[in-house]
Amino acid sequence: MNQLFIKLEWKQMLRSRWMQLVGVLFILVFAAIALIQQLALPVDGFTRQTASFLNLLLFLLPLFILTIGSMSVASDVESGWYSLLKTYPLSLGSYIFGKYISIVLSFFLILILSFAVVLIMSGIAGSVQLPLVFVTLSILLVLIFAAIAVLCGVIAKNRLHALSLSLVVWAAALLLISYLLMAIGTFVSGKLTLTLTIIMMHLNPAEWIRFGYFLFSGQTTALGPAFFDFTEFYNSVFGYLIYMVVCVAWILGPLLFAQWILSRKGKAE
Amino acid sequence: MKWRFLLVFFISLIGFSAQAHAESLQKQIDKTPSGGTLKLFDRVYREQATVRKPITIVGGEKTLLKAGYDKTVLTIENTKDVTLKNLNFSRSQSAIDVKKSSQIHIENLKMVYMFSGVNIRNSSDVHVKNFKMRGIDGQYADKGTGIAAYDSKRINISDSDITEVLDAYYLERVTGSRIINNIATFSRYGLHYMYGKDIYATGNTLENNVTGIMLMIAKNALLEKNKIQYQSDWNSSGFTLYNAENIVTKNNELIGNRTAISSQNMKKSTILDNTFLTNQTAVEFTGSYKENKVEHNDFLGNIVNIRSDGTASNIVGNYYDDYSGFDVEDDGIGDSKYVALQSFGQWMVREPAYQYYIESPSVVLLNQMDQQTNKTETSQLVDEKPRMKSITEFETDRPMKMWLIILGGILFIGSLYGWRRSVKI
Repeated sequence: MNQLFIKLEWKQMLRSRWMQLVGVLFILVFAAIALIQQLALPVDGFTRQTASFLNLLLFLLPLFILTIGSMSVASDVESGWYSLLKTYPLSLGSYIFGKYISIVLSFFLILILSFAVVLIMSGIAGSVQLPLVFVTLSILLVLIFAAIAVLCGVIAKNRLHALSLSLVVWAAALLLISYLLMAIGTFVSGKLTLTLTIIMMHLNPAEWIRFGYFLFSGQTTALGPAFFDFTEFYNSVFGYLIYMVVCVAWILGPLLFAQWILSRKGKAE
Repeated sequence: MKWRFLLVFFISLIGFSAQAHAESLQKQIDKTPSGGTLKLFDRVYREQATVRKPITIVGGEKTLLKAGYDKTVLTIENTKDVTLKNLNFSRSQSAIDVKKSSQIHIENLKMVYMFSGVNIRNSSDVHVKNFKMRGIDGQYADKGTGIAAYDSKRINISDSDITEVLDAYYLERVTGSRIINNIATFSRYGLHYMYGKDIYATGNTLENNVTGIMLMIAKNALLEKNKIQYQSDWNSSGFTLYNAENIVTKNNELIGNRTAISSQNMKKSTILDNTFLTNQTAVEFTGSYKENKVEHNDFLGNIVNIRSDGTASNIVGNYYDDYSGFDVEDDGIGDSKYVALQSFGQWMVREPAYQYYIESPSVVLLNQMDQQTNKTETSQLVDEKPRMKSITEFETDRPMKMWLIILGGILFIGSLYGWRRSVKI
């Protein structure tokens, strides 16, 4: 039943016109940025080119995953599809897991298409690069934000609510929390700003992925000497383990929370 | 009878040559007359020696000198016109100490596992050429300098290659130094000047050091045509120019450094015709003065082009790859000014913790807003005449890679086919 549900959900996701448009848009933008940024100048280390590439992933992927994923879940409730599914022998956990896997697989397909285009361009131009760290972080981004998208969809009352909720989460993760901390930093001590920034890194999945780029590409020095002790810790085997644990927590946490909310909603009905 | 004579002759020949071969370095030096040349044997000399007269010492292909980890091998003292050539050193505190001497020529020296190489004190007209050194393993604090000069005049170092030391080339209270075509890698400072005057450094390649050129409390320097790249560690910089006056940095290539030029309390200085390529921060001013000029440089792919702590400097005629103005008059100069001032750049100078946000999505957006709001800025980090064309050209010889095209093609077609099949009912 679970496999059948995943297959069905995946089919529906890929059939969606919105998903197809997002796929085309992402591939075009990803390929264009890769070509323009990396053909222009020799690239080594953390430069404006690599930063642009990273920012493109951080800006677009979470936005698309959150909106499409959350609306997919919210539409199930809104259209009555979820009520129908409840009449089948499908557990809550299986439903959540099925939705999550279908979102993840759909976006993996878009990523593979994007990477394929970049590889073709690399072959033609002879210089465009697709570093392994970007590929890994893209996969992590999909895994984490798909879980958050499911949670947003479960919380939302309808599709419009899901869309607005996703946009709020996206804006907060990518922009608002950073601005808030920068503003706080103007009137508190440097030490406190540093501590708050480190806490924020763990609590904000977008920043956690961004930190992952610095960590796994060997560019932690780009963060400046203020973060020396922090990056020294994460540059150890234990640090890598903690990094993975936090990633897993960011995947399982939202999914379990979504399941709990759905079960509460079920009881309330 | 004949065979007896031959036997005696042969034994005496071996005996005499063995005696000469076993002679100490100091004895050989003492025996060499002033102005004479001493050719060393192809053997290992395990001792210290002092040169106090004008002689030339030439090593053989396998001549190796070592004195132990706490000793200096050769000391040149109170003399002039000494030349050292083709010598190899290893496992000693220092290879050569030059004290109160002049007209010293040191050429073709190689050394490995040395604490330090050549130390020059109170001397003048010292020429070091083709000097190669690899320092000892360990922390910078446990290492010595490659070539160091103190309280001296007219020091010339050229075509040398030093790696894994504290400071590759260190000059303290030296007047009139010429550092030409040298390499320094994996050291704390590539080229370190303290209290120097009349400095000239050109054609040097300084790579992967903590700081490429550290110039402190110095006057009258021309640093030109150097390649300064990948100084990208914590607190790293290509040039750190601290409390310096009348410094010209010209035609240098600064690539991939944490900060390409960090100027601290610099006066009457010019940054001219340099290429700043993919650095995190290209030029950083703290405690700057209006008479400092940043002129006719190329800023390409840097995260922050110019930042300051709010102090003034004169910026004119540079090329910026993120300049968005037009040149309707077609005179090669942009019609609107370029404002390098970024709120985030200023914050980063003042509070190090902000560096975490460097080029993050939030900061990129902030910089975009800055570009709109800063158009009214007239004094700080403003270039009234930004150039429209770069002076730098890149080689574009990039052969096609068929295997990547095939791999990408298979992935693309496979994924599209998978997508189409999946949506079929």
